[in-house]
Amino acid sequence: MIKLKNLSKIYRTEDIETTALNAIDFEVQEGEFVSVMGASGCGKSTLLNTIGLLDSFDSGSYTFRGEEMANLTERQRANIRKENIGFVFQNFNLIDELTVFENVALPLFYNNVSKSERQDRVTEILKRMDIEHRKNHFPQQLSGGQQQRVAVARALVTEPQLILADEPTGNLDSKNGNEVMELLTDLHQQGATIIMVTHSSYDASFSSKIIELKDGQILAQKVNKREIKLV
Amino acid sequence: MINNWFKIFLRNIKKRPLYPMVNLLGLTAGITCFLLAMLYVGSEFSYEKWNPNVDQIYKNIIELPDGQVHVGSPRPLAEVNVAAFEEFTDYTQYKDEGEQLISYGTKDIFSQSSRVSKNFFEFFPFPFKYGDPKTALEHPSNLIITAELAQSIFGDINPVGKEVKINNEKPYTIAGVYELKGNNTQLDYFSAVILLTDKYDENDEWGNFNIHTYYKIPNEFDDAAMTKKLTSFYLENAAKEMNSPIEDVKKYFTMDFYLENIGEMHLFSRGLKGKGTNNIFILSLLSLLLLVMCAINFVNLSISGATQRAKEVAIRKTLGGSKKGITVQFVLEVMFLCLVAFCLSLALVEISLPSFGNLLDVDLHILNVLEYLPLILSTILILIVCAGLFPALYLSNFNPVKVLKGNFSRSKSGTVLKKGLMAFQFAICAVFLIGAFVINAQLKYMNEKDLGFNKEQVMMIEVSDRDALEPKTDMYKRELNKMPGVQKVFMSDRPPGTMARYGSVTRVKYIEDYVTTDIHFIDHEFFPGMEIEILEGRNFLPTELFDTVGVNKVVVNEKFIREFNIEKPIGKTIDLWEQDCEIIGVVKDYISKGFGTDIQPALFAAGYRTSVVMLRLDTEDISQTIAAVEDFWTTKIEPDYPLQYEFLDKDFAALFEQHQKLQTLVSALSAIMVLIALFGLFAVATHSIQQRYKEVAIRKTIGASEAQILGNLIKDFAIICLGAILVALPIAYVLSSRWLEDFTYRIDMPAIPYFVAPLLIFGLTIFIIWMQARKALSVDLVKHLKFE
Repeated sequence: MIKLKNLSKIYRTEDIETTALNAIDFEVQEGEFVSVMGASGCGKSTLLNTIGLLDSFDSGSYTFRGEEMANLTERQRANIRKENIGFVFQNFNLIDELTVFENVALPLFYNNVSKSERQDRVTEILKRMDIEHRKNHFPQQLSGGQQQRVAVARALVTEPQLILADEPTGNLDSKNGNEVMELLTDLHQQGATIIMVTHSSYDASFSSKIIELKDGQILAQKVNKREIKLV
Repeated sequence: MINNWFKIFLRNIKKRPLYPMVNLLGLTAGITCFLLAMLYVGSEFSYEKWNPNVDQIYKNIIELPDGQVHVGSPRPLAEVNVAAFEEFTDYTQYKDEGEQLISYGTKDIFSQSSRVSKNFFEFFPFPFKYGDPKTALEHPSNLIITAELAQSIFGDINPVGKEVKINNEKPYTIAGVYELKGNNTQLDYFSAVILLTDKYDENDEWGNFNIHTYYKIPNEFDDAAMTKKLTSFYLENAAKEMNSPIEDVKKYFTMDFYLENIGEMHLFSRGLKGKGTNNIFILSLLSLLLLVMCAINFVNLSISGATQRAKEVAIRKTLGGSKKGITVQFVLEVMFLCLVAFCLSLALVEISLPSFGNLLDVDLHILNVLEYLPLILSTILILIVCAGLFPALYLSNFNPVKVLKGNFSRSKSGTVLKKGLMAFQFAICAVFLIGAFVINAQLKYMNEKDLGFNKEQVMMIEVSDRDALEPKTDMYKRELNKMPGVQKVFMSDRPPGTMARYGSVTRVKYIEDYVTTDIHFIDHEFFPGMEIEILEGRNFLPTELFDTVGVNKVVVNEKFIREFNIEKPIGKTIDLWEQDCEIIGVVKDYISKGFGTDIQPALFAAGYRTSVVMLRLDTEDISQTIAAVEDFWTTKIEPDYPLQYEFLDKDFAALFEQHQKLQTLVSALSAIMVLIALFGLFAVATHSIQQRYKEVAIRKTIGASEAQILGNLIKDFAIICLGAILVALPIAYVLSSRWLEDFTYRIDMPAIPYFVAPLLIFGLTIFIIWMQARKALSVDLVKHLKFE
């Protein structure tokens, strides 16, 4: 599904150049749950943002479902994003002024889904995420775990082919963190492709493949076969 | 500590100059307009206040039953009034002599002149530059002139003792030079005075209201009782002097006598019908609202900018700074900005004062600011309290824990207030912009309305010596008619647009009814020359001159017929000055006194004292034609006088000069107002949209198109703007309707301003938001998604 070849990304300021991603080679198959780990500043989020087309890269190649992603216009990137990718962020990134229901419905609205269908799909996903009873609340009125569940619901409502999660449990206590991980595991088992950036080995242990980054380079890639029991 | 505050204040300005600069600009504009307006208002209220006797001097005016007000009174009346009523301790009088030619050596200057009582300068103690006010009026051959006139005739020398000639006749000796400058007075329209002799002449009848009379009344009195007393006293005396029964006199002279304090006449005289302060009111309101708008910008920008200062406040509080100290710090910042704005405003006032004074036809000086210093300072103090204290309290109330955790920047506190204030600004702008458009439409209407005559290309020559010229009338008309460029020559004593001029207002009788009527003396070529339509009957024949034929022939206007309700008027006889007159024609009503006064009943008679020669000219080579006319007139007709001429359309335009000034003022101030509001909007929008960068990033991430994001960002402001406009529309309608009511001839309320002004405000609002929102489209998604 995703193929990165020799992909590099350099941040430039007036004085210094920082290589955030250095000749990354890496593939993700459909249905895989990949964790990206590494110390702060190793380039995990940059990698995720590049895959999510939120950020551009300087050299190399990135193909998504067989199509080259280099040199796309902002509009093309936006279209691919909205049709294929769902995002889950550490800080949830919900819009404070919109209710739970409206937040989740927003991607459908941008995808020109009719009002009645929006209604059905949002209700369904909220039920699935067990947050439907809070649909008229605003994000600030929810706990961190609930907010993240709303964020996941929003990421899933368009039935994306790829879910990108950037430290999804980073702002949550262990109970709420577990709930989110359980959710992602369920999704994975239902066939979703997930790439997750995390600091936590515990969280990474839920995934099927773990990639370790250091200074913008892939240090190791290993398949994770350990069975995890939720505590 | 103050040093530390000041340092931070300056560094903040350097780092983020947008808000302080917008604040400073807006404040400077607001204070400048406010100062100018206050100078003007102060000047308008200062009329006659220079006079130490102002509280004791009252002018006699009369009001006719139709509401017309005249400032004259019969000359003999003052003496008997002072003898009869103990309230009056003294009186003084003057009589307009019109323009007189004053000659000295080779210099000939026309100057408005008056004859005044010997005690005139006791009532009106204008400072004398030269001569002694006590003795200046002792001799009938003395002439006292204003310093300005003295300057133009004699230059810088002291002219006392110099001999001049008036109208090339009698010599007069300059006995004094008085100063008008700096003294606001209604007596500034004449610049030369000679003695009004003690002897009454044949014009000084009880029925002739041609003298201005002032009484000295030291004590308070009851207005209504005084009017009653003066009116009946006049009728009794007039009846006695005219040897007529009092009932007969009443029919001719139905009027009420009033006394008005000279200090109040300029703005509150009965003749102004309560409209004297209209311009002052509108100007004061506009300038005050401008100041309020600046204060609103101040509050809005300070709240918007607060998040940028939040960290500083939080750290100060953490380190032990008190709430009071922080409040004082921010109030001091506002005070400092106000002070800078005030200094800049003073400079701007100084620069703009001459053109502002020209526009309003007043003489203003920056030093007058000192007179109103308490008012100005208190206004600015209120401004500081409103504009400074609120944001200061708002900032000092920040919760340091929340701020330092980085959890503050998206706080929504103050949003409702900000939106409310912005809506208020939009509403004010819309009201005044609509007002400006309505005023503009009414002025356009007045400029273009069919007046009932053709005012274009009519040159009017003022005859200097009417009596001497009468025998030459046929000759000069014939000669002028022959000149290339001259289409028609006709005459009148009362061209339209020139108010009464020499014409009189008289009670005309038909059967048993009396109607106050404007009397016009014209020649038989006046109606065709002016292109005034004769509806019934006929024009005068050249031989039908008033007072020369057995039965006088007159033409009247439609209004005259309506007032008397005469059926089949042609051939009917009316009574004018106790002479029978036959109506031979009825002309269409025409607007002769401007748009604020209804058409008056008018009676036209031929010949007799037609003092204005009117020439309708070709549009080509006008200057050549004027030169030829001037040459002919000054060599063949009146060689001792320079030619005095005006154009009818210009004279007519002067009738609504006040409204034109108002239009300029309202337009200019509305434009400044809109500009200040847009400044504020720009800064607030910049901040609001910056605050929403993260939201934009989220929306973009989950697939919003550019148009959708733009729409979303613009929506809030558009709703505020539309809401404000909806509130403004009825207010603008009510205010504009009230303004239009002052015009007898007025437009129906135009619909266009109610579309154009809101569209303009809405369009500009959307444009400014759109410009800021465009920037939001290129936000760095990663940065804004990652951090709060």
